[in-house]
Amino acid sequence: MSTLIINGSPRGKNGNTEIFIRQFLSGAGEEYPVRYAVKEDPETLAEMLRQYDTLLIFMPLYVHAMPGIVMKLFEQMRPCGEGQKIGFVVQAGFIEGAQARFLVRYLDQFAGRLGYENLGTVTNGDAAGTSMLPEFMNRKRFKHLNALGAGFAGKGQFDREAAALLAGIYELTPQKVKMLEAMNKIGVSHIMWKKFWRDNGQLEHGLDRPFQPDSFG
Amino acid sequence: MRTVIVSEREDTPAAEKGTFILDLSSREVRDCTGCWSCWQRTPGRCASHDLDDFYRAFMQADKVIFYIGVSCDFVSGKLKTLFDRMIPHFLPYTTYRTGESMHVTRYDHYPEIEVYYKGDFSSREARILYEEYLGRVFYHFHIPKVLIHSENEKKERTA
Repeated sequence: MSTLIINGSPRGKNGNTEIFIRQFLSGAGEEYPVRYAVKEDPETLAEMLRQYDTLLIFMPLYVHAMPGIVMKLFEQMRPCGEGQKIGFVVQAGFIEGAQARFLVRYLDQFAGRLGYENLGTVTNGDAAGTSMLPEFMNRKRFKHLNALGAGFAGKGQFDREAAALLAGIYELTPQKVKMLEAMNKIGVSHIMWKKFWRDNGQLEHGLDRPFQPDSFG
Repeated sequence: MRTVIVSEREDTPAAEKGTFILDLSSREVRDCTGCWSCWQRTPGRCASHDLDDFYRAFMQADKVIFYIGVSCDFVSGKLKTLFDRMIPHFLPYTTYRTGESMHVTRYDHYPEIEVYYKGDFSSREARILYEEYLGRVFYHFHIPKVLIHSENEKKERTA
């Protein structure tokens, strides 16, 4: 049984999606080949996908859906071959799973329309900082990704428990909203951005409006 | 009334002279690279400058009209890239005031948006998702007024 992993991140090997793939592979104990959507011509890549029994597409959530480069790949994909399977792993910056609800529905319809057996879509939120966080803060996330990989290597399916743990909360609870808004109010949530701006000599410019019209008339 | 047109359809109606038109069928828009320059290094500006004229026209417009198609039951890859490239107009900050995570506005005003779409869907669910997705994107982009129209034949629409 052959499996191909597609990294759908515009950041290719340098993004959080790549970290997700490495953790998944580490759990799987296999070295499935990985292709990078950002580096390939969508038509050529789509053609090559036909050679594999199972496709696993990892991608970041961009504006409630797949990045533009992944949609460009989807546009080139044709109905699948006999018995081909597909599965998706989506990592997102925002906390709640509901942010990915349009993409989850679309991927379901997409897999069905092309005739793939669908392994489903695993989502994980609050992941924007994965590459910047110290190891211990990613421990749970990596553990679940390892379990997801191990489950896939063993049974050819996404492990339900690992998927549920990665999915986390679907919607923010009123208490969580209160806490997050309080953190905004005292500025804790902005510390990281202010640090970026300071490091880049942009501390006074973080909120700039470079395309502000001169006047409203 | 300053209007901007975003078009990827050949049957896009002729625009008044002086209207800014972003023609996605003839103009190559670079894909978002996920570099976060627009948030970290050059706030509000994309590291790619190929859309600067559009960004300026968009922020000056009262209304932006989209004449778009349907691609594999969704917005086309080119239009999705344009959506990805709208992120510079919003701050990296997140607000939770509506009960969900939302990007904070960078500007005080954003234009109204009107969408005219035309194209085939493989199911009723697919069409519903397409419209809901567009509505959600423009909601998240803090667009004050959004109208979405289907230009499909009535027969197709109810199929």
